[in-house]
Amino acid sequence: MRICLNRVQILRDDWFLSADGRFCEGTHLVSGRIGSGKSTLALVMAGLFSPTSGTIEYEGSPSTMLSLQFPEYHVTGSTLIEECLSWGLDPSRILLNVELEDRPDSDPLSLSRGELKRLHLACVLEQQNDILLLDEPFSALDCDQKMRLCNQLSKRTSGITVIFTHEQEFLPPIDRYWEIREGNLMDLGRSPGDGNQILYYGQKQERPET
Amino acid sequence: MMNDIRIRTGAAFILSLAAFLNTTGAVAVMLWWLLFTRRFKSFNRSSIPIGSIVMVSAITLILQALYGTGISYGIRMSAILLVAIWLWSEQQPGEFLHLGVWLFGRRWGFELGVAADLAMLAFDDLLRDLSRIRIAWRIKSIQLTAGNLSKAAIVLVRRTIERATDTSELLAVRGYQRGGSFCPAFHTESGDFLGGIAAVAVGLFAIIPVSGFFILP
Repeated sequence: MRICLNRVQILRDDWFLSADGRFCEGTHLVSGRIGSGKSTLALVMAGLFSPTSGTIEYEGSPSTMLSLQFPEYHVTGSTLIEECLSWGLDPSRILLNVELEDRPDSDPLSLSRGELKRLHLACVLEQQNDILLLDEPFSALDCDQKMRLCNQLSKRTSGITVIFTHEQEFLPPIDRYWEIREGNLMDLGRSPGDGNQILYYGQKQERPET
Repeated sequence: MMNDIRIRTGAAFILSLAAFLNTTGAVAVMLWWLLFTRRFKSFNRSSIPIGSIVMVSAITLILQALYGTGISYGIRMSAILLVAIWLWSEQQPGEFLHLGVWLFGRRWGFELGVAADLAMLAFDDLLRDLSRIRIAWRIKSIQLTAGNLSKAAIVLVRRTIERATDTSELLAVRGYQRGGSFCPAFHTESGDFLGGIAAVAVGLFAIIPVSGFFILP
């Protein structure tokens, strides 16, 4: 399974993003400054935004899931039960997982941003999609929840996981690092220290046993 | 592209007035729009203008069918819409602050400029939120329809209030009370003057009867 970005270019007024690369099975980290185009690239890789030029090819017939940075965008249910059902999931299992089992009839929009993010990520991860694209998945989470998410992501043994984030402290084991720099997606290799790149991420962690 | 917001806003005011006054003025405004703007490239900023044009077209048809005055209304409103879309597409963040201070000084002008710039920013953010909501719902295979629009509307209002709270806190932390020290600066090119003078000519053309320009039999 692979995602191939073939000379993808996105032009918008005086802003541009150019991406050319192969995303193989494993966990990828895409970083870059605010406004560099991480979210746009996530949309393009999910097939939800057409680039100005170039193509995206998915080898195999993978199922794709994109988690947007702000979880409230995804909310369609009026209660937590309805919200879980809107993802086609068993509410009791999900709510127990995110420790919201005592508030099944609460409005999802009445939750704190952190609680809603937890619920949203639980729904997304439960889907078991082949391609999982996560736009700033660690935002609004506290340290415990970040660690928990890292553990959950580490347990994905197949498929492609791409994390678009600024997070530098809490990360799951990463197989390949990418950075958007001056409008270009750069492949930094298996660790950000490969080649002449500067090492600025935390030490690579061992993949925990599943 | 008209760089100077003073000339741009003044031109937009005169052109809107000319288009509103009569059909001749509206046609002249359309000619001005063809000559001095990026024409349909102005529509790139959002799909909202398309919606406005559809709405005006529908009202035009209804007025024409009921009272026979639809064509005049359609031409005038289309011209006003074109000017509005052009003005919106050329607007750059922070410009209203420059214009406000230049027009009304560092107290009221500053206040008005900041309010106008924040309003424009909020509108852009609102459009971005709506676009993201549509994408998020598409992921869940749910269409954004009139029936479930209330949920999206709640999210939009909530996000807008959150951003407004953040901005007000930031202004308070920086000690903002009223007015501010700000030196407005403008970048003017020769094309700006040409477009401005042409807009004034269009305004005069709309006010003064055609017989005032030409010797008619």
